[in-house]
Amino acid sequence: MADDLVFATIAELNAKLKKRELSAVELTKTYLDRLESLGPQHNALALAFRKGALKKAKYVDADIKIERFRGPLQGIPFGAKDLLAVAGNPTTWGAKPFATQVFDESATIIKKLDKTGAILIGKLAMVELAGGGGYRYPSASLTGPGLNPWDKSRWTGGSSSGSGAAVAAGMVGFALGSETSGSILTPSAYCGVTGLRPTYGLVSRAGAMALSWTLDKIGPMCRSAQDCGFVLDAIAGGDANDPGSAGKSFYYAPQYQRDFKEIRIGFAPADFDVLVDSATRTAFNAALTVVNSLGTKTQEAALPDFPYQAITGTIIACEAASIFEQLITSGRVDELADQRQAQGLKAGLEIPAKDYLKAMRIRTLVQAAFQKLFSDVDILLAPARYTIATKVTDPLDRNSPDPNRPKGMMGLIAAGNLAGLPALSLPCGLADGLPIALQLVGRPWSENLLLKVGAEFQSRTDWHRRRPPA
Amino acid sequence: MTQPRLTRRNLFGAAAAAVAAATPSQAQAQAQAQTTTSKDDDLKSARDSIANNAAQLTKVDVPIATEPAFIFRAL
Repeated sequence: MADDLVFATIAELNAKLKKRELSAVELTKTYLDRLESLGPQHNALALAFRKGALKKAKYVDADIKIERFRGPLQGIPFGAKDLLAVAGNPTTWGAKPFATQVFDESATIIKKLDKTGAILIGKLAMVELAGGGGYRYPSASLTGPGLNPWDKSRWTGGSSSGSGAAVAAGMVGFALGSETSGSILTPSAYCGVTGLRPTYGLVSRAGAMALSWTLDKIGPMCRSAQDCGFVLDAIAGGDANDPGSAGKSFYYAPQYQRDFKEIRIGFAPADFDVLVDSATRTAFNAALTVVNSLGTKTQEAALPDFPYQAITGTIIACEAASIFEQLITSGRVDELADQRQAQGLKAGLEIPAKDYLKAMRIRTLVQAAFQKLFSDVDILLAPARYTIATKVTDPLDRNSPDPNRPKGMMGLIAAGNLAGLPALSLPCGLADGLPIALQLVGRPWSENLLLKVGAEFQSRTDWHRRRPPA
Repeated sequence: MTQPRLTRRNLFGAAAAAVAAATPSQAQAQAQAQTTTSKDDDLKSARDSIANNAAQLTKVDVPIATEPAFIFRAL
């Protein structure tokens, strides 16, 4: 099969499947071969499902033969972050203490995707326990550090490390990741894939590992904004089995969004002039020029002033320590690969209730401040990450920020997660041969608007089409 | 003289061996770095981080009527 096909978008693959220029079995075999060979080379593979996937692919081909079409995901092989349960198979949460854990029931979104005809070919590696204890090294994983397909001496980003690498290196048609505070946006940015963090409550988390009940979200990591729309359409929707579910649906229909000339995009010039790493500045400013050419109204905006990292840090530490209390008190937490993470989880049990409640009360103020901000702009635009992917051996807590630097939107990932806002990470250039990305953040439930702008950006650029060196 | 045949399997084996050789060196580098901090140091670092977060939270004035950002629903 042509190498191009493993880097094709969902729409392109689906068109070939429907015309029977390509069979689902052939496509699944090709992706499986790549996942099983390239996956371990990037520490991206937790578990492959060869037998089950090929069986499913045969059913899909039979359906297509009689023109029983089920939508754009029919016959598309995908991978799921290893915090999503797949009945009867190990779900390790990327952590040694859970290496043999098996659930009886699959996660809601795995079942939803199964009904669309998408083909699950593997579980993808992740940072252990999604990094909730605060890890120091990218090696904080049962499968080792996520190695970036663009340069294996660099990290993929976490915690959806395997999902980022697998999409970037053409091991899957798309992947599922999860985000508590940055775990979709960071690997998407570092690996050069398009990632969507949905509004909190839009996608069911039933059957997913909990790290923070009030922050966890699950979303797609794909090769284009349009692909993210197709996947979100399939996985979104209310679920009585997820107490955080908002009971809302999502239909991918960017065509019904307002005209570009009516969309107001807010950004902080300091992000592009001062805060991004110098190696990335030219590429980020070129991307900003493309955004300015879309016909939208761009204007300066500022993040409301809150200690976002301190708020998310407190909430995640408390909720994660409660969720993993038994792991911590049993002493098995010391089996984790990252010693700093183990100690971070222990320390989380000591946080006074007043601090957690203070963080959650400030969070109410954060939500109100964003409601006000979104009366002036429709979308916030910022670099998804301000640097290229870090070296895989670098400690992650090495640098402390200069307190006198301008703030720009550097707190946007934490802020957006606190306020439950959707975000889209768009590859927007290369610096030192590694991908960089923009993030678009919108009001709750504004995914279609973000996807419309994202798709237009991608119609004018080809960064999302770039491939890592062979 | 017969040349040994280079198959794709040979090539994959060589590539896999190269990766296997590279990975331990990365792991070793990290292991060396990790040994520079003890569990006690890491616990202290985690507690310091929590204390720093708490100190930042105390600087934010929260109106008395502000409820935490979660909702209890009677079922």
